Amino acid sequence: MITAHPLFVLFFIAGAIAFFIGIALRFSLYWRARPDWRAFIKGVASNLFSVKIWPLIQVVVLDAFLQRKLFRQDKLRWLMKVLIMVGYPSIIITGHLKVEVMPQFEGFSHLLKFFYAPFVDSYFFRDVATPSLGVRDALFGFLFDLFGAMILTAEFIAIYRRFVARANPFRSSMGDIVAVNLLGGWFILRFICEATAILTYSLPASVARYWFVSFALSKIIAPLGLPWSSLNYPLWSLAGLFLGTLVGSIPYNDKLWHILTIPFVMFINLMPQEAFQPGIKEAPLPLSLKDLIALDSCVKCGSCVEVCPVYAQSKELESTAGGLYKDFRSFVRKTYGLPGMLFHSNRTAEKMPKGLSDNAYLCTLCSRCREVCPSLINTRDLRVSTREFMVETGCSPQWVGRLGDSVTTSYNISGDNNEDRLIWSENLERIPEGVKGKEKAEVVFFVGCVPSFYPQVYRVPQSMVRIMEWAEVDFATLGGKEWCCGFPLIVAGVGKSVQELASHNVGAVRKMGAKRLVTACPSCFHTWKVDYPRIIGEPLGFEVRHSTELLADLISDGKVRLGQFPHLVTYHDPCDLGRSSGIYDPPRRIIQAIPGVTLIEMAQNRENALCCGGGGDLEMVDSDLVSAIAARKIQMALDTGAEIIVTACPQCKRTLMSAARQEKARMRVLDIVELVARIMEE
Amino acid sequence: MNIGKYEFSDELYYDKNHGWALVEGNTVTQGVSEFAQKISKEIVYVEVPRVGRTVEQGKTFMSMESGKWVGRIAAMVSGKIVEANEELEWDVAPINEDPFGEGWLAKIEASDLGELDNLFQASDAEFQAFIESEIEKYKDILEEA
Repeated sequence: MITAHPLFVLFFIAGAIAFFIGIALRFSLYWRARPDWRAFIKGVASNLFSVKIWPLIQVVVLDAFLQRKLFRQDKLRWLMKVLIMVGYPSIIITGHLKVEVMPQFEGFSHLLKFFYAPFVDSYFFRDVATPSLGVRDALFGFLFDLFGAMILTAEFIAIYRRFVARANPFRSSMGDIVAVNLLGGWFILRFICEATAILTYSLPASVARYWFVSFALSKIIAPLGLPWSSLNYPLWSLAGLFLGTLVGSIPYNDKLWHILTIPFVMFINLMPQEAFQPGIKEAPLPLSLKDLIALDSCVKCGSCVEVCPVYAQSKELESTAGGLYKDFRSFVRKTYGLPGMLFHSNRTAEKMPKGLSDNAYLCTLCSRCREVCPSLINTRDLRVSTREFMVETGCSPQWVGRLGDSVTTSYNISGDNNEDRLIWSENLERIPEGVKGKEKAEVVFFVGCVPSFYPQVYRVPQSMVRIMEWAEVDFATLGGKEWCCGFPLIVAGVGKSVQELASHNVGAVRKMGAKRLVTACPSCFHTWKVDYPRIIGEPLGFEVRHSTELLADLISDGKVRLGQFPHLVTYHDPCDLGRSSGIYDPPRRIIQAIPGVTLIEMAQNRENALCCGGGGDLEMVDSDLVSAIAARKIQMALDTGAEIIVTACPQCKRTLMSAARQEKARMRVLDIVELVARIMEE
Repeated sequence: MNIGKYEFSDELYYDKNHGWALVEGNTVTQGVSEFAQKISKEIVYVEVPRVGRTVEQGKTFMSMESGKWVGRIAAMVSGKIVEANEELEWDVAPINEDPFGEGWLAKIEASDLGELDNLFQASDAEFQAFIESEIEKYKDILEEA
């Protein structure tokens, strides 16, 4: 019979109170980014009551519990995470199941049982009457120690990795050290407490052996001959203090807090963007709730650093995802959280730390970090949101404003007269019908700014129209009516300026009566397919395809036949086509359909492909950095022994061509459309 | 003769797009000036125009790239392209190293040599004033070079 609450339970309760105060503080910042609740609830429902529930379940099992991303990167770290992800919830559930069936807690409210659950064994050991246990109690005992052992093993791996192997490129903060020690320290104490209790109550081996870790520990410490019965209660109280401190620290410690945010990150990744539109007209914080939760989920584990092409050249941690989020999060909390609200420190531009804005733009948006982030953060979206924040607060670099003005007035990225959009066609011996003057067509070929205005890649649209004409595709271009898709503005953080571009372009295609839009530019493709329906607020009414998808179909349907091409080629996966749009196979099918060709994959390909350096507007920030990244890619291609790099992106082609020239590499760079046009049998 | 530090041969014609033209009978060889090469820094790609193509004075007929800058080259006379410097497609070094010589771009069979009156020569005061204003305009880039 429990007549008074022991100290260990009181410590836990105190910790819980601190926890809720901390939650309120955290939520004071989240509240400032509260969404429109109707849109939010609709977004939640769209996840739960649709086919999206299946990918969500897969993510929960494969990524949250089984940590498949980590398995590919680092087996020891994977083991550590899986032990925690399985061990912690399991021991909590086991404790709560046991407290429900123990007679000592009969009559307790569920709330009170919650606070006693971690300490059930202190009562079980005290009151166990028989020298043998039933199956249920034996199982509980065994599982407690099994899950506890898993967590402790994870703790030792964490200590080894962080302090011995120094596997994390980010320095450990005090918060990191506290979190690691609290998470594991509570369990070390718990085992000691159980061992002490075994000795205090002289439990027979037939009972104690199920708590196999504590039992072994009791055997080790028994010869010390300490006054176990006097130590029992103080030790449990110390354990309670540790647990109370652990729980109370969760909202104040980024490493602990992310344990709570990760389930939400998984969920919100699948919700539509519109679900997070601001709920108040003049949102005080130019970030969404989704952004804040994602920011809070980063624990600077360093996975992003290992794969970052910018970091590989610059060695500056501050521009990696983890480095940027650490600094940005700290700034956002100080400026917009409770201190900001209390001391009116909303003077963002003045308070922006030096270099933070520049670091936000030192990224190609290749999304390699998103592929490996164990916290499942959509790092690409968060980087763009960070840039939008810089723009909204007037802290973005000057070139962003100039880019926005240029594109929204000249409707292209090169500043040319937009009526000259067909300049790429002027060197053609014969201009196919469909390139200009056609008012209706089944397929609109959206050329894109880079192939339209940058001569290094004129051959891409030249080849595309030749192929479509040969295959009798009923196509047309928009000519001077084609405006920039807006991708450079979206990724620069000026997405709000794209509305007019999107409306115009969609209207122009609809006026053509087209059933399909095809583009050879992956960035345009992604913008049309993913961003435009969101921006215009309705489905497009026509299909959007990348050139590789169309060409793969034309080849497999026999409408385009390919001649011999006995060369060794390798394929570069453009980031906006591969990782961002999931298109890996159509280009490979095309290459493998070419008679005589041998395709050799680069060491890192598909989801792991190394960026060429040409994306994310990085060229506007640091062209030398772009060249350095591209040079690395060229070397990777050279290592395959291939004579030719084939890609499916005009911007990648430009970037790689420049790098091949600079590196004096004996390697040609071709867009896959050019290759097909070159060898198709006419 | 030199305008500022930059060479402008007396025998050539020039336009305000920084092109030069050498007239030999009815054939006009066109290129970009040393000054143009300096302000565009390193030219990395030249679009070689198609032989046989008809061009019009003042209208763009080819493009070149330098880093993220794209330059449009206007025809200095109207006519038909009879020869293009196709080597530049594989190696742009001549245009950077010898813009007045090996870096020529195209040869045009002029349809009306009278159009040369629309062009400048190095001794023209208007052209000299233009170049001097361009030197001032691009002085930061020129100093870096």
